[in-house]
Amino acid sequence: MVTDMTNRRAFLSGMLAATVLPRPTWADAGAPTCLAAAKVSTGDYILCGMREGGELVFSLPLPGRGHAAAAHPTRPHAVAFARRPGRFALVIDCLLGREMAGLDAPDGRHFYGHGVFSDDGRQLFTTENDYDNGRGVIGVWDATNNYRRLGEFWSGGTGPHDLRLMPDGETLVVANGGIETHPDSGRAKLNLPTMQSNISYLSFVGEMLEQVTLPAELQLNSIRHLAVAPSGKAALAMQWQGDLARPVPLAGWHERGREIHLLTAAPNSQRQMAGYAGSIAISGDSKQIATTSPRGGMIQLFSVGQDAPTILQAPDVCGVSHQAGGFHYTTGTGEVGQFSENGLKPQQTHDLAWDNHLVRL
Amino acid sequence: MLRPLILSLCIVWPITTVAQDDLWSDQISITVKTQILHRFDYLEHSTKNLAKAAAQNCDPNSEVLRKSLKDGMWAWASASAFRFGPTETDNRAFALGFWPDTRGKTPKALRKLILDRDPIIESTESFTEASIAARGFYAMELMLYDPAFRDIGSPEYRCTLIQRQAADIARTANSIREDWEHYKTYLIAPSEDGPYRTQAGVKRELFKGVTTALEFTSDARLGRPLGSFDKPRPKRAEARRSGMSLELIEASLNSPWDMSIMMTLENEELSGILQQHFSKIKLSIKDLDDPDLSGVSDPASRFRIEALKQQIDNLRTTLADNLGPHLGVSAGFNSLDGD
Repeated sequence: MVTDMTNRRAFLSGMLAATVLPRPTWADAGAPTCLAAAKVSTGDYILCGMREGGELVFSLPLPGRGHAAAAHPTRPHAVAFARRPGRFALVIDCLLGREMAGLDAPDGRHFYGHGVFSDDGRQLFTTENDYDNGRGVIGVWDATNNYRRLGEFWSGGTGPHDLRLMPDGETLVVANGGIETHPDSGRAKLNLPTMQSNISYLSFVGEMLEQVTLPAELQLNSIRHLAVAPSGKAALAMQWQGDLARPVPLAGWHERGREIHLLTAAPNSQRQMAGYAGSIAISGDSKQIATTSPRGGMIQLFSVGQDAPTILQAPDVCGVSHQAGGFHYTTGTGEVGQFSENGLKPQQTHDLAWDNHLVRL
Repeated sequence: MLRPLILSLCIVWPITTVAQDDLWSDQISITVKTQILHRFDYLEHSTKNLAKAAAQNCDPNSEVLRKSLKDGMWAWASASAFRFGPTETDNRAFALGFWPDTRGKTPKALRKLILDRDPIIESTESFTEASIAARGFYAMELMLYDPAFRDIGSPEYRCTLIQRQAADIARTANSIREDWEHYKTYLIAPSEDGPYRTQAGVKRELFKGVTTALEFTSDARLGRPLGSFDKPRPKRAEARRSGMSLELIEASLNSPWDMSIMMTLENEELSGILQQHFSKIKLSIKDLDDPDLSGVSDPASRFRIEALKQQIDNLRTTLADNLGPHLGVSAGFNSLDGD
């Protein structure tokens, strides 16, 4: 009898295992290569999946203006963050087009708008503001357990914005913008005279592995966005908080164990960026870095071995990413396209306004 | 029929553009002279008086000294829309106004100077090396009004510190004014080698000055003391010790108001709309009668302060929707406010 039961159990569990469906992947969701948030003409906000040719694969409603999205490495799940100081993020099943979980920032925290998954997709890391204490934290969420919060650790500075996974799969690189804000004071910058931005390399449990800052004369530069190449070279985009008439560098790159290397163009081109680099991307071979300037309506494409960047004009450009076929961009006028040092190649114009970022899958 | 029409359009088009550019050029020149230079003239004048008053009598209770500090703060807030160019060089704006001070750095820095008897106050020159949190209007306000700084350390040290603060403020204001004398040319005559290549660049800078000033007043000057309904933060109000919080809000609207009107002179409708917005806000401020904004803690008066903030936010929307396009500097989805 006992034996029978055991066999029966074994049989049943075997049956179950055999009938478990293969888990859906991004291919099942139409094989998009990138994600981007947008505003449509009705004033509503959506999250879109796109292919390299600029075709829309899916578009799903968002409850408010999005910022960046974090894509699960294998499953077709995207975490869409509200614009800062948002207190929630939605995990969207891009195959079914429905919300599958929600992330509520704990009391006294809000999201900054960026997040990243671990390589195995089990953990999600988010940049957050511990605003009453004016310190940045990285929130850790369990993607295998309905996105339960596992904990948090210090981001290494104030105002962490973008964060990325390093190619070793066990280190996070965080752009601490250095600017203190508090939800009571909207978007007011509360500590400009003493702000200090940095790049911090952290383990998954928050150990500080390395931290680098900018030279003192660039104390008012806020490092906000990152892109990391397979070599481990991290490209960074900055926002200048000082006098806009001063042509300061707004892009750079960093390799572990070295100083930050700054990238800059001719003073006029630099001024045209109006102190603001919106987004950044780095090529797979680490040899090219592209930064976008929505205010200047241009892309600066820096190439190793060239003194000056290639300047490409594109009104209200902001989203940029490097995919299999090269660099891609999106604009607030709905345009999607590719570019290289030879120029822009617009692919499609959609009837919507692409928001700040184009996230590669 | 068509050809003459096209021809005449070809002739008329560039002429109107030139005329329009000339008009802007005049308006920018007038703005620079009657607004920017005028505001910094007054800042220089009032802070010179402040330094003189402190030199004559450093007693924190001195009415003359207190009054001249208030005048200086008023002048600085009145120039709120001109935080670019010489105003920002060498962190001058921070050296004049270290606020908000979210981590209490000003009281900490002052206490340290006084208790250590730090010789950095030896001269006005050496004091420029002091922590930026111990310099400027807000640090001086603490020295004159905060009871915590009445008995600490020696009276002589405190007196010298107050005198150095005042002289340092005057010196910074003087540097700003002097440098504007040269910098104004960049605004009046934009060129390839200057910070502004085109007239559009100048207009963008002026427009940004107006909108940034209003945003700061709404988010910081009003937002910080308002806190949340459950947790109002009256002690976070700017310059509350001297009872200047509301007055500085009013002052901070001066340059945005004048400049908005100046830039819309030939568009009566828009000019009228903006005039109305500003006048109504001014009336709301008068009605509040709450100099240090302590009313944020009282639900009855709190809602009126919230309403004032809302009025300023509505004005900001109107400016973004109308003044920007009028100046030809309206921003796209991403360039408007990135993150």
